[in-house]
Amino acid sequence: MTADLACQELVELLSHYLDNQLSQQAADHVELHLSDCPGCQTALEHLRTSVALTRSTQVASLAPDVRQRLLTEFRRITG
Amino acid sequence: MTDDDVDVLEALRKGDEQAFATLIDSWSPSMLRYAGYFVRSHASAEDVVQETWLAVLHGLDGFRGDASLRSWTFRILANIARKRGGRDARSVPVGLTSDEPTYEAGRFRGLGDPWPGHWRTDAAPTPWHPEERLLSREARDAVYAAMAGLPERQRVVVELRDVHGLSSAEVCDALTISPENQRVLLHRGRGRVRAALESFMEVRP
Repeated sequence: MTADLACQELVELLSHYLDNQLSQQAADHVELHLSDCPGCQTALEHLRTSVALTRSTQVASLAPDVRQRLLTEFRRITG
Repeated sequence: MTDDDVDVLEALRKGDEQAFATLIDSWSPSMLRYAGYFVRSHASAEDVVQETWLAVLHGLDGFRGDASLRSWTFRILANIARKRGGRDARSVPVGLTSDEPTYEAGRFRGLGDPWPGHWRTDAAPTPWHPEERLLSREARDAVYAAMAGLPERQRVVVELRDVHGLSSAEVCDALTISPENQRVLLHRGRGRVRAALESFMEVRP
């Protein structure tokens, strides 16, 4: 555990950290803390895993007839 | 405009139908998701997306490339969806002031402790085991349920960013929210999904 940034504060920065949205100075603080804190390392890993699983959730796609209509229109315009 | 955009635009202008099909297949799911934020039914969202693609097709010659092709498309989508849904007037609070910690306060040491705010030994996150369980349908269902239960603005930001892979700039642009709001909504939404997954992994099958 490091004294300058408590775990409770650090976990609020992890999402921004994951997206490289922190200032260099803040990212340095986070990394210093992570290097010495298994609990926060795990919290980061959990967040990473959770985001990766979110990516795999099913999404709706366009109905085939709508898709076909668009392709027909594309042919009409560019043909 | 990206390098990929240059290639795609050239293909579209040449009448390459496969290029257009690839584009509608890869972007329509996120466009449907986004449109669904403004209109009530899936059918209406589909109408909005269809209208957007038609506007894109007819506007291609006027596309100047000052934004990426996807940002431009989403801007058109946003205009059409807002008009259709009449959503502009409805103010949805962003909820930035709500105090919603990522982890329960009880998992951290109190002020009287030599290490206030650090994990309590018995409450720190522990690695998720077995890893195979994370790949199960049940894990995906737990994530899906958590997503469905998110407050609307958090959900749409998490979906556009983490499911559909839009950049933060594209999300800010499409939802007309500030970068800071976008970050907070994403952080809160991700935190809830992560918490749901943690609960799921703690319950032994």
